[in-house]
Amino acid sequence: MNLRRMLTIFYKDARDAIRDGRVLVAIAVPLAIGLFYNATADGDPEDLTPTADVAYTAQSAALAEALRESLGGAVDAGFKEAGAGEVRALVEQGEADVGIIAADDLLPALEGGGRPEVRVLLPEGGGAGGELVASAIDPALRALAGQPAPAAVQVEPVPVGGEDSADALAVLGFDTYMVLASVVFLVGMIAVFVVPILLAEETEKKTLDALVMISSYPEVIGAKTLVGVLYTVISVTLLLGMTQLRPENLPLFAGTVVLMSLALVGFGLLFGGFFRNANQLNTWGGFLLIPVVAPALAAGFEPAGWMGALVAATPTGQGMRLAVNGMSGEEVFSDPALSFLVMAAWCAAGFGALLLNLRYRQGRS
Amino acid sequence: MSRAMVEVEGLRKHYGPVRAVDGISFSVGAGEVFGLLGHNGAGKSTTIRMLTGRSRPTGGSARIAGHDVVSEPEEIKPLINLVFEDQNLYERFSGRDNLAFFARLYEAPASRVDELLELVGLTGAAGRKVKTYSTGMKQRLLIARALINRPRILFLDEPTRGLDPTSARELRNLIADLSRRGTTVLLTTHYMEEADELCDRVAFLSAGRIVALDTPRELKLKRGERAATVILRSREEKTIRLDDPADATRLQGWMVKGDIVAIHSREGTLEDVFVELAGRPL
Repeated sequence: MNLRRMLTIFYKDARDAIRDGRVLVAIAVPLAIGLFYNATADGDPEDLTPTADVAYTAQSAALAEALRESLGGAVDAGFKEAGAGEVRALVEQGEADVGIIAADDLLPALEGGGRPEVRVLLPEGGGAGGELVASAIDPALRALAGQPAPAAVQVEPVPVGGEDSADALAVLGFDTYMVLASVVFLVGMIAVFVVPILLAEETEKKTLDALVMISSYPEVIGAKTLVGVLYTVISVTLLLGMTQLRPENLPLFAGTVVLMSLALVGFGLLFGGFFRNANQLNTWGGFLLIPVVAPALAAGFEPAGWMGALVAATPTGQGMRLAVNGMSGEEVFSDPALSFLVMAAWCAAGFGALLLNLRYRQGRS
Repeated sequence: MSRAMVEVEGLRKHYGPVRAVDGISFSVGAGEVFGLLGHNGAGKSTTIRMLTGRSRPTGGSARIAGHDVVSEPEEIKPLINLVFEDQNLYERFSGRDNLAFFARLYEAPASRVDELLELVGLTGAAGRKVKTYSTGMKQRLLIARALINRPRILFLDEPTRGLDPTSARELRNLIADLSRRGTTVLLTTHYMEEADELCDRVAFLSAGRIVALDTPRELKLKRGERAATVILRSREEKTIRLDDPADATRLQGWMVKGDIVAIHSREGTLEDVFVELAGRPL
């Protein structure tokens, strides 16, 4: 394997491919889809902070203020002052999650060590926000009475469901998730369409015969793989730039994209060799995209059964998991080492099969 | 013959039961122009594929400049080049870019590109995309590409196919010139006149086997008809056999009487020889 020759072919391919309309379309489609989702889908990550509307009487104003301070960001609470009758009515009508009616001498009584009456109204079957506000009333009253709190309680909302995959949409938001799916689509299009088209065209036009008069098949394959990685990196950077998304963990995200590209290009070149010409590949290659893109789309929806197994076993399923982690900067999906291992295995299998196939063909030719 | 640049011994290529090349042997000396002639499917292109390292022989051996084609392909690659039967050029690139790319691959100096464009008369069109070239221009570019590494052995697979008579004549002159400068040339062609004009020796391939191998002159003499056509003043055409004493006496009589207007030799052509050996014309 001669690196100089491989780079010479790579440089030629990189210049030549971009002049091919089929290549441009294959890259433009996922870019457009990514931009579309980014522009139209709901962009806010799912907010897990509970909300509560609190109605209180004028006599409870000090208590309401103390509650506002003690709740901090744990509850997204809205406060409304009203008369005692109106407070009850608001709770009954479901327009307030908590009603607070206090005695006229609330503050002096607390400061004087008395036991003033405070009535808390909670609707039956109310939400977590109202319950949190109600549970915070006692500490707030203690604070007003000058008593130190026995502990600093931090309330942290935790999503239910257990499996980490459910978090992807919540953490990133639907729009960012779909842009990531478009990134996988883009990687797939380049690996399954663009790079195999380069090889199929060389075979069809017999320029491959001229190349191997001086170079070798591995050099040609290596050059086309580099073109795939280069186009992938440029296109993904372009998509992230246009959608103004910045991965929180850039090395992880970039490594994932490159490894996913390598894992797919080997198979793309292998399948590309089965088609007689580039146009045939262009016509039928779409079917190859289904097993490429489907696991990536499914990864964020906690699939079970065979679909879950597919996500776990495919480079795009695992690649999507790592891409979510890289974009969010959090370990939304656990076991990233396994994800890398699965992609590396696909990479080795793809290129191994490709070289065996080339050797077999050369022996038969 | 000078030192052999191509040595082929019992070379075979079988595809299952099909014997594309079936035990051929020949050698080609330095500076020699050697022709492989035969019908489609006779094994010419398969032989070239094996000699240029693009196909692994089923059996036998072949050496190029002393290097085995199977075990030493990397040593052979810089020494050879090939003008393909197909016009396999990068059509979205210009003629100059095509040559420059292969110059880089072969580590040839950049100046070689302009030199070759000049040689094949494409300097004026060097910046144009190849897809705008005529068939003749593409063929000339293919020749230029095949010369980029100054090959010691040049293979040409049907090099003048599709060329107009003038371009074909120029190409034949170029091949003859390369041979005079010491380049060994191995070509396949369907054109018997071309083989007759260019080749020092030719081999006729039929069904994967060499059925005749000699200089065109010897083949024609061995296989051609030993006869002549005599045109008399009466415009009559008479055929005389050169090995028949009775015809010698008739010829002498016409000459004495001054009856002869012209005599045309009936020396065999390469095509005659080929038809005789292969059973049908090319």
